[in-house]
Amino acid sequence: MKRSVGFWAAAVVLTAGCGGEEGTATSAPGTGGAGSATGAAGPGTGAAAGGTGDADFTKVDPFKRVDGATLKLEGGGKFLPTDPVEGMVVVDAVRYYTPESLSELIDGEAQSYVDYGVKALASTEYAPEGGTNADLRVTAHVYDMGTPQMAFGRYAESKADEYRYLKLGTDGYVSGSTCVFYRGPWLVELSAGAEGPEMEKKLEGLARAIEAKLPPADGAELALLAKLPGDGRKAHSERYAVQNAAEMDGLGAGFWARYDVAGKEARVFARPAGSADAAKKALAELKAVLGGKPEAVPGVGEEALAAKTEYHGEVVLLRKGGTVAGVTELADRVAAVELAKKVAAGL
Amino acid sequence: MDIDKIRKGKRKKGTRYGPARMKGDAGADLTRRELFKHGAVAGALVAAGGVSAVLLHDRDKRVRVTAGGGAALVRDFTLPGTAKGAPLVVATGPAAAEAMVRAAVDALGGMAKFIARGDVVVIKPNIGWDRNPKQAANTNPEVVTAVIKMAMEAGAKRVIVTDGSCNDPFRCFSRSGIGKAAQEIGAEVLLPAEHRFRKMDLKGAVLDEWPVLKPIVEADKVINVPVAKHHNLAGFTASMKNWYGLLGGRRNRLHQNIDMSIADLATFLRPTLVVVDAINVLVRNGPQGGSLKDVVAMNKVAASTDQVALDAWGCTLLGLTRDKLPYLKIGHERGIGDMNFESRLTEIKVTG
Repeated sequence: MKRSVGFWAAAVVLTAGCGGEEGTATSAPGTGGAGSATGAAGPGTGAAAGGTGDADFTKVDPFKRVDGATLKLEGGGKFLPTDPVEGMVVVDAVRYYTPESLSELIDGEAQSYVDYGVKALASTEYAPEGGTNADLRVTAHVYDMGTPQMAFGRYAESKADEYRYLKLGTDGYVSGSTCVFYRGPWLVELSAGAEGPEMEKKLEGLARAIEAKLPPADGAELALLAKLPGDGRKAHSERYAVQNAAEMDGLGAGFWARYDVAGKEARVFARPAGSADAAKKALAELKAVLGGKPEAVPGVGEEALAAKTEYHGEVVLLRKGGTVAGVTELADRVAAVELAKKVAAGL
Repeated sequence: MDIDKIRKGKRKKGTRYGPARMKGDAGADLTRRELFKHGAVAGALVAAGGVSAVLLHDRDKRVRVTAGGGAALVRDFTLPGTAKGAPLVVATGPAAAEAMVRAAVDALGGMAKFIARGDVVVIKPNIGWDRNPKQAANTNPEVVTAVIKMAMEAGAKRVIVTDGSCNDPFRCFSRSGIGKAAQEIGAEVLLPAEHRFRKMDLKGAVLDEWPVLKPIVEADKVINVPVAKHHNLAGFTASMKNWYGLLGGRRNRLHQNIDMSIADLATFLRPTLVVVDAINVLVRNGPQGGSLKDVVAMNKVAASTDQVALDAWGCTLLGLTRDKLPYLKIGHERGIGDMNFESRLTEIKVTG
């Protein structure tokens, strides 16, 4: 929401917890910062409220549209619409964050983006012009994740089964009050305080407007996932982890997905090693993950090992060509090996 | 919403927040190694480095815990006799939030046990995010106002509500509903303006000199009123992590060693009372969430003076166990609290 001069003047003296150096406002580098937002002074924005504190929280300002021509649009900001979309207009400056400053906006959540190699974030807000309901305000974040693989990885981490998935970007979803999608290295997150069909329509409309500005991408980062078995794979369960693939300590980076095997959940992971020799070396290193004395499993890929683990059931690890892959979580060795054979066959 | 489905869909094993799995249930065979005594002198305490330490208490509530070559600063607001073996009460609805808060605190002996007439009481909710109450990223305003009312009824001279927000503070205090609700019943709402911080050397294992919110450390009594929720780095957070809001400056570096920094903060700040809001619980995509589909109505309020026990209990709401949260083990071993809470747990059904 666009704030009054009075508020921003007050904001400048706020240390703001996780924001900025002490004694500075929370504006990010490369932006006009908080102080760049201008507007008429209004009630309830940083004004003293006699004796009960230093701000009056009982009054709010109406949203005011920001002239798109005054916005500094660069990086992910280039994809933010400045024309009205679904009755929503830009009501805030576009702010930019680096991996180092991201926590000023999202605090501890920043680390999960940093883990996925975030390069930059462009952020602004949309709202119905003249409205005052903060729940109708939509925060728009466009992250540059560096590579499509990392964008997919961070995107996938936020997914849940009950979200409604859309053909949006390479993949996307809406979930009542949020809409998230990615395409290429760009990860787009929209969120509002209100939920419901009307808000979903607004979010989707805004997302489509951003999508239309994004460069095309072919989704090639998902090629390895496409090689994994389709039968039994749980919808929208695909992930890319930068460590502990399939949620198993030590497996390292990799794509993975959940499978239904006769009513039991299995996890399948795969990771390109770069070459057959590198895959051989990677599999040798992964032996340690299995613990104990893994057994060789003939007829699965070019080499396979299996062991019963303490936390992840029967685990089968294999290599084929330049890829290492595996199956985890099943209690039954035979079922795990059968699934591993299907994995190897697709590689 | 099906909480079991959510739990199943998320990382129940090998988590981002649990890089090295501890074998077995760490809580099962751990006992509280030392207790600390509130008073003129000393008890033994396991300090930052996990070694025995001497605790000295001064009249300014500032306690230094010396530990070998180091010393952790402690701001101790606990009352005599309320720390050791502290009971933990969980009130479960369907009653309104205020009734659950009252039931939980009354079961501990009532607010008058903790607040004396004339006290300056600071209430520290989680007001970290520009989110509305339904999104459950901040403490429920009804829980906060219930605590305010009870403190006032107990005779508090002033009741102050403050927090060091993550997002823009005015927005957080406004959108959370806490700013308005607190002001309307006569509490002072203090934004984290620069002049309200002072630098303190916390002498923790990872926390050194930080700007600290003065209203909190200068209060007579401090009531921690966190919200229980998912946190994608820590796994689950409520009481101990809520002290992040005590600090200004660049908190991002704390997240690089989140478990130890949580423990350091909980070592520093020992509240008079803790009331945990678990009415609506953000069960994934925390700490700020966004989608209401990530929120589960659990209708619970928990109270205790043991912040470690409360967090050990709270993580069970997300299907986690205490051995998955390293900061609990650190806090337990330092003697901040006791994560083995089961024998001290009282559950109350509140219907009215």
